[in-house]
Amino acid sequence: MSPFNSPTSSELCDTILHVTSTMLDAPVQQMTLHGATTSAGQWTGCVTISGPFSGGVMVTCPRYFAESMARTFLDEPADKPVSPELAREALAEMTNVVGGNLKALFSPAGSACRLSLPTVSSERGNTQGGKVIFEEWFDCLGVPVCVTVYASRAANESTVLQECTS
Amino acid sequence: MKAIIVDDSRATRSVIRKTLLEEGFDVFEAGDGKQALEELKKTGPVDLALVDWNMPVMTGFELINELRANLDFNSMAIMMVTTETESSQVQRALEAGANEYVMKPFTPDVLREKLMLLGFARD
Repeated sequence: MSPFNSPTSSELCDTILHVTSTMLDAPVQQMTLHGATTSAGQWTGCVTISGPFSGGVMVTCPRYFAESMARTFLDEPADKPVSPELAREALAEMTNVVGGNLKALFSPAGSACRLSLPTVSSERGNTQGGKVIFEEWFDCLGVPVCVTVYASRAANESTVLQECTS
Repeated sequence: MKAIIVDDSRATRSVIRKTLLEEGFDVFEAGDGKQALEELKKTGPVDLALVDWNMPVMTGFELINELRANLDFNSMAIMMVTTETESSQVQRALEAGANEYVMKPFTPDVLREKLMLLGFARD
């Protein structure tokens, strides 16, 4: 028996849609992205999950979208410049909330996985040798945003993979 | 009414601050539990502390324990505002002394509802 819950892809998507649309105060939709996306100008927010489930969550978006999120959260006008630090904080918080809500789906009843503090990198996210078990794109105000979940625990990984791709 | 927002995210503090100001609070802010204790030593007890769980230096859970063990601050209302959404974590926070619990993400209306439950909202 798996020590953690194995959410379906649909459950993960629904949670991401709820979190992102609430935080952005705007509708968000799942989208299909054809072809490779450029990594230039992309930032990735990362949180790791430990406990019954071990892995992580990454949120990847263009830098300008992180700046846009910062303006939204700080209630600033659309044309006001945003510092890189504030933009990173905005993406970090989005990653933190997405990751926190997703980890709850993996936590078994009566127990909780632990979430790391978020980090933001201007490089492609690193799964640290883990296996990607979920990766979907979301249309956030016309901007493609990718959410990736990976499992780093070898044991029971196949269970998660099977559930999340069904 | 006075409130302190304890969250390492300036973005989240900004969102919460906006609602609190609309509800008539004087608002103080801190980026972690240790900063909050230092701020509270300067301001004295406030009516409400809104506390994130996962923060560097001192977590929100540790801060609640500190506040509830301190006679100067143990009567303050405490609202956890966090991504820790598992029922076991909610239970832990309430047992440690939190009075209310708000899960991120939240809307201003949800925050107002929680303020009302604590007897703070204007209507």
